[in-house]
Amino acid sequence: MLGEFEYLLLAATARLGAEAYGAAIRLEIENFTRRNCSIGALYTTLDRLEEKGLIETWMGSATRQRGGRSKRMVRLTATGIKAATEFFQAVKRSSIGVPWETNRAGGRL
Amino acid sequence: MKLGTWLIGKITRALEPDLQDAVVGDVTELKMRDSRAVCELLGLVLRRQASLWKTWKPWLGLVGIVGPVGVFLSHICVGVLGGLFMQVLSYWQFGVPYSSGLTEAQEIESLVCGSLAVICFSWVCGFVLGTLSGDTVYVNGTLLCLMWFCLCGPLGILISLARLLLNAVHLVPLLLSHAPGLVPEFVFFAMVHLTLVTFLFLIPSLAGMQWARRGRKLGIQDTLLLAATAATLTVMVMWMGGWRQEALEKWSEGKWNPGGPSWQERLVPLLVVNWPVIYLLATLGVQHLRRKSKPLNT
Repeated sequence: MLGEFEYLLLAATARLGAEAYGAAIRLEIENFTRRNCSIGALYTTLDRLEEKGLIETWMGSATRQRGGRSKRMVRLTATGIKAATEFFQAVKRSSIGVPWETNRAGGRL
Repeated sequence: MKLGTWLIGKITRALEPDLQDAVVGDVTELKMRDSRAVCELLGLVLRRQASLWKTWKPWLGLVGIVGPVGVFLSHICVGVLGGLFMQVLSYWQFGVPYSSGLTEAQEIESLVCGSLAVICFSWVCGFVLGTLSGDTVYVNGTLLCLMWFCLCGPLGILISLARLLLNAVHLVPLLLSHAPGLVPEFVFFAMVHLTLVTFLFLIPSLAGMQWARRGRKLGIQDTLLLAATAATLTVMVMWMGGWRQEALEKWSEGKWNPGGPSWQERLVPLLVVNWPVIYLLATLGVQHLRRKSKPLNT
């Protein structure tokens, strides 16, 4: 089972597609969670997900915007997509009937 | 160069070249403030260091080598250093060798043998620490150097001096009255002491760590040669350790037995500092067995 941050990272990678790399993933996560995402948390989680075989990373091209430094590109593997799908389904199933479920009237918090 | 940029460069040196490129590029692209970048990069380095400690090997390096081997090796080093130091002092002050009751040949043999043993044990200690620690060698190596600093390095010198003065409190006023004249001499002897201990312990152990960091491995012949050298030096140091005791007994015509450790007691610290050699031999044995059990591809 994935952790919460691991799922967020996989979701950001999936959304960015071919443009998924360190800084872009970080901005994506910060945008949809409205929480700070540190370089330490990001790269340690990327390493862990790569070890588990859920993502693949490689060094991409360097750009002037990055001071001539290369990007660490990220791509989901089939195992990664499967793990993210399972996590999402589990969250969806476990959220049925909970007070914070969207559009549910009468829910008490 | 700005302090922040300099710090970022220094911190990222602890990361692999590819990751260095990626994270410094991210910091530039995100236009992060230097102070924030330094904090975040420190966080990354710390997290990566912590993740390296999930295996047992760095712990074995810390608990098995930095602890007991570091302490006993420093202890043996200080013993050898005492003999060397007295010779330097005697030559410098009076132009003659210092006599501790041993013959000149015995004195030379025990000093050469002791120095070679400390150099050999220090190198093996550094090499095995480097092999076991992998990327955690920065932490374990720093701790070993701190051990050196406290037990036989600069702090060790000050502690020895304080102990010496505590044992001869009556000499303190006399020393203080001559203090201005004694300062250059003290600095000179502290420098001699520090140079000797650096060459005997610090440089060989750092060289061993560096050797391991470069991924160099010892072959069967090298390991066996190293083990034979370490075993020979251990036996010789243990045997020669009793010479001074015998010399004092002989000099007093049997009236004064200064006591001192028995050969078994002298062997214990030597065995402790020898365990990295035993580890190398065991690793070699395991590799040999694995190679033998592997089926041959025809």
